[in-house]
Amino acid sequence: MSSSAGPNANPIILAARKYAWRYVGNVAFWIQRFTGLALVAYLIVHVHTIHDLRDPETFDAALAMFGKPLFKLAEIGLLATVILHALNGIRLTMIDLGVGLTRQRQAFWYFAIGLGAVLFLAGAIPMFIYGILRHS
Amino acid sequence: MTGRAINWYLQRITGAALLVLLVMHFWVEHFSAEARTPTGLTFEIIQRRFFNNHWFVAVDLSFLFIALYHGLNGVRNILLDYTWGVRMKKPITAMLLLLGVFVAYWGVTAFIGNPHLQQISTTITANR
Repeated sequence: MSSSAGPNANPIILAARKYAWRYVGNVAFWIQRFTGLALVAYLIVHVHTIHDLRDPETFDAALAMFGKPLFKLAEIGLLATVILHALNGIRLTMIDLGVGLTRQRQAFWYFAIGLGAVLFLAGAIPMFIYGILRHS
Repeated sequence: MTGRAINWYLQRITGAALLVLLVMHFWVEHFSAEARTPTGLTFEIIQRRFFNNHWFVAVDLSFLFIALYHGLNGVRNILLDYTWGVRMKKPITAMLLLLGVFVAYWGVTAFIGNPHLQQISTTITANR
């Protein structure tokens, strides 16, 4: 990224630019950690719900609760978390294999964030319409 | 190959496997015709599905084991990035292993040896 900003440029814009390109690997690193930890926490809670299959009434009560708009909204958040972790994980594996090493910054923005946003909207819009707007 | 290298490879391999399994999981639970009902997924749908096709149990349980390994190994990798984590390596590994076995047990016993699912499975066989 060329930095054409002079010495009097806004420090916030300068910092944003640095983190967006020069330090993007570090941003991606922390995103991978936080999303990973969140997904482990979700996995444990999720398996706890599945264990309720031993008691059908409790299970259906739990599923009815998770059908409520607030939980649907959380589920949309889960989708975003999964997509970020998965796409950035693919990017990490590519770096490990030495594929596109010089383009890893672009891979974060265009692949993990760009393609991620497309996939997210493709899932989130129907989830929002059917899970929240048309919730009965 | 050293243990650490195997650990590193396994995190990538399980990650790739999870990608495939997760897409299958999402499809089955959210987009398949039987899940797209006004009430969404219910015990009855799961009961019917699982006992007409044992592949669901097999795929879901492999998904569970692989996700648990990938997730808890990821937590271990994070903790071992810290000096105190390296010092506590053995108790950390033991605790995460214990947690993994515990959650895996929850998941397995939801399907295997579940009296409510068994009842239906014997009725289906009896009706054939």
